[in-house]
Amino acid sequence: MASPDLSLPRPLPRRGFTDHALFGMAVFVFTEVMLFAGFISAFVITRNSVPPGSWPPADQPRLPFERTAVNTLALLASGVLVWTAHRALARKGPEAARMPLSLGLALGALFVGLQGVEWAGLLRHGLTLQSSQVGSFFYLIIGCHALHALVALGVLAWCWVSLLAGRLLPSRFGAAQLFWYFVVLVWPALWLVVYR
Amino acid sequence: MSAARARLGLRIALVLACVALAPRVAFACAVCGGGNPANRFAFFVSTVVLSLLPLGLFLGGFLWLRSRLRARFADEFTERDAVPARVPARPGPRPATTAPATR
Repeated sequence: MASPDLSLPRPLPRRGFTDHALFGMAVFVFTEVMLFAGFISAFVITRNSVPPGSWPPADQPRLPFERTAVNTLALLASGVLVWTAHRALARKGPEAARMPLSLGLALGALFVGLQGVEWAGLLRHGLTLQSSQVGSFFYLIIGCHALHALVALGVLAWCWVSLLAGRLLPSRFGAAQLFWYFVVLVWPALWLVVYR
Repeated sequence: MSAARARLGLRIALVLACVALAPRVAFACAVCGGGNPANRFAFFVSTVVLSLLPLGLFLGGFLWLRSRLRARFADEFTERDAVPARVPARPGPRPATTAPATR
């Protein structure tokens, strides 16, 4: 008895709708947006609960709003440069992306360094985590952002090394970019709400 | 008729009683309802923002996924649709229909 023909039709290729790395990072950024929104909400409500003129308390230093504008400009420029690197990588290849990514990375590191200097000054002037509500919120919110900036900077540095080695994966770079854009874009909101 | 009117009046009285006896807003939280109008306004705005922000993010994510899916599956049926159309049969005399079988 002849065996029946068991050949199956060719299976259709699986099609993903996006990179897994990018999608996972988008979900992560979603949660981070809500985290910082909660921080800002708590800060604004607490700040409005004190009598007018008593924020920050008299014995506490004012946050350097004007001086931090330099940090803000550096971070925004870094975001633009990373975006330029992405465009250059897609259109002209890895060689063209090296310079903007290097500059973006350097400006990001400059932001973190200036923040560290600013923190050292504020600590010297007596603003600590336990000195007042201002200090508690400042170190909680801005510290959380600084932690994100450090991690994102590390991921970008990893992409930079991969780019120099000629083995940068587009999906990895896309996820790193998304994280960096989050760090860049959430900062102006924190600067305007917390420092002012 | 009078019974129906009585029921209607009872319902209206019940609704009015509920409205009249409804409790005032209780500011149970000392921070959120501390009596400071600026504080209360900040609480209200924060509530609105924290309610709408995830909805906006979900909407943005949905639109992004939809655009990605459309772009990715735009050529899903290209192969199927690329099959050349069959040459239409030349019109000729109609085949004779068979008479229905008699039972």
